[in-house]
Amino acid sequence: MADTPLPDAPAHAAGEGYWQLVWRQFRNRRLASISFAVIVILFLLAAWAPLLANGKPFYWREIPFGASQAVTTYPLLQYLVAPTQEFSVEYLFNYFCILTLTLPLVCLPAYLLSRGRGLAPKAVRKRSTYAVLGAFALAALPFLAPGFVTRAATKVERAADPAMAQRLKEIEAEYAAGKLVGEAYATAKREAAAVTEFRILRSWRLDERPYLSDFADLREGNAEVEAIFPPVSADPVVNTSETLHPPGVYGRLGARRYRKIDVESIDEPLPPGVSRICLVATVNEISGGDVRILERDTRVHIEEDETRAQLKDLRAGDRAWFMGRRVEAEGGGAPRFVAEAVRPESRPPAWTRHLLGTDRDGRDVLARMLLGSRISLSVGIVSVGIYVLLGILIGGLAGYFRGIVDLAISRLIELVICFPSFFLILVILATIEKRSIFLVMLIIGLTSWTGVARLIRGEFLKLADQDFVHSARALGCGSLRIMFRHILPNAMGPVLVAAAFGVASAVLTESSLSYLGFGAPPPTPTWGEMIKQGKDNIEVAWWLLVYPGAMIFLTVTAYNLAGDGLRDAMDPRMKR
Amino acid sequence: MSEESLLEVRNLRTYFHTDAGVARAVDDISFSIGAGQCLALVGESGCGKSVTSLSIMRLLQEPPARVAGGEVRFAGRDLLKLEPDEMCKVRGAEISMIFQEPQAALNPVFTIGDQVAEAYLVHHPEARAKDAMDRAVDALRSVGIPDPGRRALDYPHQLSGGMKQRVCIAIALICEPKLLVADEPTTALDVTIQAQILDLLRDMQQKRGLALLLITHDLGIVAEMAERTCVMYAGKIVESAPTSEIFARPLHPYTQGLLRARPEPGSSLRDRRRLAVIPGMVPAATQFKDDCRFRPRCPLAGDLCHEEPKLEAFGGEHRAACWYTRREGIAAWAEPARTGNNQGGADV
Ligand SMILES: Nc1ncnc2c1ncn2[C@@H]1O[C@H](COP(=O)(O)OP(=O)(O)OP(=O)(O)O)[C@@H](O)[C@H]1O
Ligand SMILES: [Mg+2]
Repeated sequence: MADTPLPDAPAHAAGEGYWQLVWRQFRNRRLASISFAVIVILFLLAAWAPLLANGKPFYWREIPFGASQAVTTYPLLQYLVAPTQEFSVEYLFNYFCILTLTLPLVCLPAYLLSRGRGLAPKAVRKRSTYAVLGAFALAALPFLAPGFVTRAATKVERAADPAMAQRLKEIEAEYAAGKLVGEAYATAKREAAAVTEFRILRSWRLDERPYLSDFADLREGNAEVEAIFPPVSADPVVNTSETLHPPGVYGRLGARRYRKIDVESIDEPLPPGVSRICLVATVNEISGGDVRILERDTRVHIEEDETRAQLKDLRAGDRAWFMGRRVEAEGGGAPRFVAEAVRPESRPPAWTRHLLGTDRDGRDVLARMLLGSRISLSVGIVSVGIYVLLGILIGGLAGYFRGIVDLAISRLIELVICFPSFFLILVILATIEKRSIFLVMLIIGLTSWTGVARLIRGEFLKLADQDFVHSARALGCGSLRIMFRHILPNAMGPVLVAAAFGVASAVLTESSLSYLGFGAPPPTPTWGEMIKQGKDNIEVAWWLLVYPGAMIFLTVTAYNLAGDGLRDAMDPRMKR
Repeated sequence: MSEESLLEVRNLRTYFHTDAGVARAVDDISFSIGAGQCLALVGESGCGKSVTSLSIMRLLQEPPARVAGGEVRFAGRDLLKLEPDEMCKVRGAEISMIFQEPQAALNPVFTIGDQVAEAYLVHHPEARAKDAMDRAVDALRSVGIPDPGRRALDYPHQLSGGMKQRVCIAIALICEPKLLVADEPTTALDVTIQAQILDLLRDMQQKRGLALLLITHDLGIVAEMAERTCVMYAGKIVESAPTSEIFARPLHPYTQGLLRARPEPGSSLRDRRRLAVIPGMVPAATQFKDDCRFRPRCPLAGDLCHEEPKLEAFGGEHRAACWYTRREGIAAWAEPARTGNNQGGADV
């Protein structure tokens, strides 16, 4: 029997299925493969975002001053299994994050155990299926019982240092007996504790104020702490409406209104009517309560203790703003600038601290970009998922049942296509009070299904007349089975390509919406929202605009190139 | 018929409602197949053979098709009256079908093992996937596919045409139906493979007591396979008889034409070149009139032929629908003449 394949059949290797062939051809395309790798890396980064950028430590061991017990907790782990945000996107990505840990944990031993045992391919397939399923199940477990995880991850060691506890007891007894009073009592107590300064074991980040500030007494240095933090600091959300200004001297006109005033130095007389000054400057040197600033030879004096405490947030090279007044020196000396409020402003990128700089609220750009990638990436996937499903259903019905169904659906498609979808989305979002990222996904999904529906309708019209469909019907398959099991897999190729391009455009749409202020509500980081902030501060803080912009560009380009490659790989005429 | 018939088609009419009018593609035909029997349905292209088989399976798209009347009794039930979901249970499980193009009849994206197993699972939803796959491999082995365990993992494009038709047969027979409708099962295959597939079909018929409705326009296949033969012309059965009778004493001028249009096994190349052809073509189905439909092409047509002839018995199970035959009697055709007809006789 002549076993020659048809002349137009693509060159298959033995035992290779259609999708294997497509995958092989896809991999042969360098640009497409690189793009695909970029997409995978982006998703891995999104999954690992909380491990890379977080204010919470992986590990936290604390011996409060005077206590005879040590408490060890794993705050980040607790966050992973019970995210504080109400987004289920967080759950999904956290699940993937845990999955990336359990997958090698389960599969590697399974592989090592069955390697070199001469197992039949069938048994190998079976085992690997079980291993992968097991890893998936294992990753899901902690989500089912977050309370259990929290409890299991908290360890209280009694009597961490019995000698210290004993000494403390004696001091308390002396205090009760009235032998120790006031300062002496406090000093004795501090000396009794072997370590009075807390120390933090950290990766390469210098400080972790947000988490520490939850423990007010730690700031006083009253406990011993060991902790390991993720590399990128994710500072807390500081709500401020002050905008970033270029360095200069601003006169305060109203609660939030400032005008740059044309003086060379604070020492010069101020224009009439301006009493309070906002000085935006780069810190040069901090000495005691005074700050020397770079831009002009001015010394900023800080009188109040409370304001002085804020100085520890400052470092040379930081931009900061100082709010204050000019104080005439008694006895004819030069007037001084006395600051009442100090706030570090956006910091430029630096190797040592914030790699990609901070925004005007002092939040790390890299951290926000990592955390924002979860939303920006899932917007693409979820909204495209929604509209591909819708399109398959609607287009499939039209193409399979034809006749009046087709007529009605085709008119509906034409109707929906007539609306410019971006403006439709804008209008819908503008009328809705409570915006969330899911709404954006849903609306993008509900307005963009027409393209896929048309594709699928065409494919179904073509395929429903093929013999294999007739023979499926002759086998007794019902309509649903024929539509979704027999026809749909044959129609998926063009849909996949359309979906790849669709994800790219959905990412763009979401960014545009956020840019226009219609995206997720403010503290939620998304790339579009970051760009919007960057645009407001473009003259002074280029890094706020450039990095998120580059991320969007990278993602959209990668999806488009991957879609291109997929289309080529599935087209037998472009085979090579 | 002596034995109880498995499938009995009575006065089946299938019309298509098209823009050009009503096409009476199948117009009042009756035949029956006994269990384990093979019935051949022969006729030129466009005479309604496929529509007949699709009507029996109720696979025609309605509209435009409409089964205007008749009965299809199968194992005591009228298939035309079944609910759609009951009909789904008959298809594949009790009556199966194989098609002309094995290449197109298999789904390109699934392995053949999957497709055979799926055919089993459709009618045995409670079966485990693994059992279905085991059965599929057995079925592939039984239709003569070498190394079925490995082949089951192949995709259709990796098989030759003959192999694919074997797979189609495996799919059709996995639920052990009682009747197989084979619509030109070998037309797309080359001659040696045709013979192998026909052998396989006959083998299956004998082993499983399978009844076969064989649709073809190859009289050689008819002679080899069928016990009884129905000759169709333009939506009608014009002659029906045991196969040997058809070849020995063709009664209808159309049957005679068909037989003459076929190379004799012993004839020389020279003779073959002078093969008779039936002049003209089957009229479009919308153009059928209420006269004898073969009349425009019939060398013997006369005035009588303006009225439609009915099928009439000419001894035993031999029946034909022709006024001329009826008038002249069987004797006139006892010796089918190879020279009695030429193109000049056509009444066009
Ligand atoms: N969907 C349809 N719509 C209208 N007419 C149709 C349709 N399907 C078949 N017909 C008509 O029915 C007639 C019989 O067609 P059928 O396919 O049964 O021929 P056939 O005998 O199987 O021919 P072949 O040997 O080429 O397969 C043809 O004249 C055709 O025009
Ligand atoms: Mg046909």
